[in-house]
Amino acid sequence: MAARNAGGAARPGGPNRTCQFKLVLLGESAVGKSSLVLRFVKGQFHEYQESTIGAAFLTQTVCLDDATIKFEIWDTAGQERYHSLAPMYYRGAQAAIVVYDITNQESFQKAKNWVKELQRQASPNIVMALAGNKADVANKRTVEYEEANAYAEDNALLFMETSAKTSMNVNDIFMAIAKKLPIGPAQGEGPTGTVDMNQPQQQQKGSCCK
Amino acid sequence: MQISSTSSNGIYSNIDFRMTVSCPPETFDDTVPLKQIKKEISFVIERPERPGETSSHHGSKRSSVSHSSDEEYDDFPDDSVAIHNQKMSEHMENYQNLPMTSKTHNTVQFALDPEMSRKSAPEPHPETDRFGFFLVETASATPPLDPKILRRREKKWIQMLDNWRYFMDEKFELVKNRCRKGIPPSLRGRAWKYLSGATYQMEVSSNRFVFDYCVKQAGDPKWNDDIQKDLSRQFPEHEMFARVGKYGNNGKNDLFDLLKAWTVLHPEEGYCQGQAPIAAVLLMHMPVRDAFYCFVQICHKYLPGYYSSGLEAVQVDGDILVKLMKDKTKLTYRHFKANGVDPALYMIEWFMCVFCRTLPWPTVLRVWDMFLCEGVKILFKVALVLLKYGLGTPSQIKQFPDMPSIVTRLRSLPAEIVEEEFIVQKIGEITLNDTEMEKLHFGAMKTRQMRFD
Repeated sequence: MAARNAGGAARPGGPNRTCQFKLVLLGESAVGKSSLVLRFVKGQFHEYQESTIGAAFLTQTVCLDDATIKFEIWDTAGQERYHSLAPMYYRGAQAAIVVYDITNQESFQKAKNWVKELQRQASPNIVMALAGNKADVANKRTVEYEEANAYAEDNALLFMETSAKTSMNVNDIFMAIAKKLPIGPAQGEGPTGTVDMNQPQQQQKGSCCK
Repeated sequence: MQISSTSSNGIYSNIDFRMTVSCPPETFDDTVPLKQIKKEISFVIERPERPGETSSHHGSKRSSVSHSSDEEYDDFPDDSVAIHNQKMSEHMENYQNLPMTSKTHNTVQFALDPEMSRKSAPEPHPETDRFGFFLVETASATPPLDPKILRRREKKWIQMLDNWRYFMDEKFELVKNRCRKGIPPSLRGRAWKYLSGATYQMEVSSNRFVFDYCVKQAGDPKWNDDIQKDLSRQFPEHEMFARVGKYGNNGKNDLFDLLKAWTVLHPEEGYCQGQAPIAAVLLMHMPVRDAFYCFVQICHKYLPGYYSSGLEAVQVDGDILVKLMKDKTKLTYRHFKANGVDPALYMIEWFMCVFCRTLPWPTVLRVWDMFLCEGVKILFKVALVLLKYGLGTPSQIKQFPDMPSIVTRLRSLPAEIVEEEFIVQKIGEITLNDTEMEKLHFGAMKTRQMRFD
């Protein structure tokens, strides 16, 4: 599926670096977090996606020009009750996607709360994106694009309206995050935490992943 | 119909009692009338019959029951049983003598023959397996039980259900053993109601009007919204909860009624997403009122606090599981510790949903049979089996060396270790000492409290 080739096919000779990054999805219940992940990882969409209990875990690899990025994705449960578990999933995460439903104003407020919490509690260098999902039902929209965009700019978040159903902007938002992650010497000291240095197939070249 | 009841033998602390028997006693205080709730709808917590709540059951000698003891009750000397048995065999004979095509001699085949059901059904309905899930390409690995064995088991279960109090008080080991062998599908719903104590609550106890009252209330819009969001997201491939099929929206309507009634009963605590799958599994086996009482028993007694805000109880059980791993599957324990794999990363869904979204369906039903008989211990045992045989050997540990691969492995365990007979057999090999469990529970609670102080 398209998702598998999300950054273009691997170049002949293979990419020169493999980096692993922990990414967490947060947001209110039923805004489409699991659907976004399923679209990105498997290229599928289920109209009736089972609700997430606790959290789900998936991985997906994307190729950039100079590196291969493996996302370790924690897809969390959205209901308020599961909030106490959230720190376990976003602790040490290098990236987060905060999701809201463009047809549900309340979910946008909830997304803002998640952003605040991440700003306070998560790693200081975390790359954050805001996703306004369900863009395919824009006729029922209650959150204006401009409003969310302005908020994202104020908080230095990546922002896109997405649709897991039509796959609009799904790969793009993950790619945009991948591009902002520190993979080279010029972009910071490199990721920490879940980076695995024992993987035999991993080529330890350059400064990526140390 | 006989309903057994057990009287309280003293006052137990919640912790002490919790681990030794299927469920804790009624010491929680959620019956305090809240401002939105009228006095008469509080669920009166009295002491109904509970599997294992009589002193004779919670000794540590529960585990071994010989098969021969199972057979000795074939000639149970009770008239009603004899009559019932006779009726049952007549019924079964009639069933066998139903007109069938010359090619089909097996009653099970006959019942499941899609050609037959297509002819009799006026409207097209997607084909399902014997559990009601829409058929996909892969056939079920385990063949249905031999009808002769099944009928013999049905007779035994009917006899047992008709003399429930006697069997629970005097022959609990036998009940337990039969639950481990698997409850016959035709009696599963009824047996679950008896095992959980729901039958008592809905037919004898003063709580018997609670459902009728609660289901008529409008419910808090906030909870209703939360429930509505989840109605189409429970077992979407099951005929009862799918968007197509002969049941229409009835399954979903029942699910809504059940969960709404729960939130009317517990307006403060409300609805937790982990509850819908539990309710859905029950609704696959019984009408909504019955399912409600089973559901309340599970939430009140088997898994108290699992679904409350903060999700404390399930996390405490996660800590206990880690301590048990240290004892029962040490390699797994060390490997997880070295890689920072917290129990909450894998066991929340297992425990909250009683494995109904983790294991193949035949195994789920066997686990529920045992869980409703023996209680929360079964959850720990199933988890230990999965951990031990899925990630317990040096070669497995080498193969899944880091956190992502461990978590992925636990979400896609090989078919042979989630197969029903394998799990049931391995569960039988694990003994969890009651006193030790109490200690672990107490310790886990303490540690957690200290962390927050």
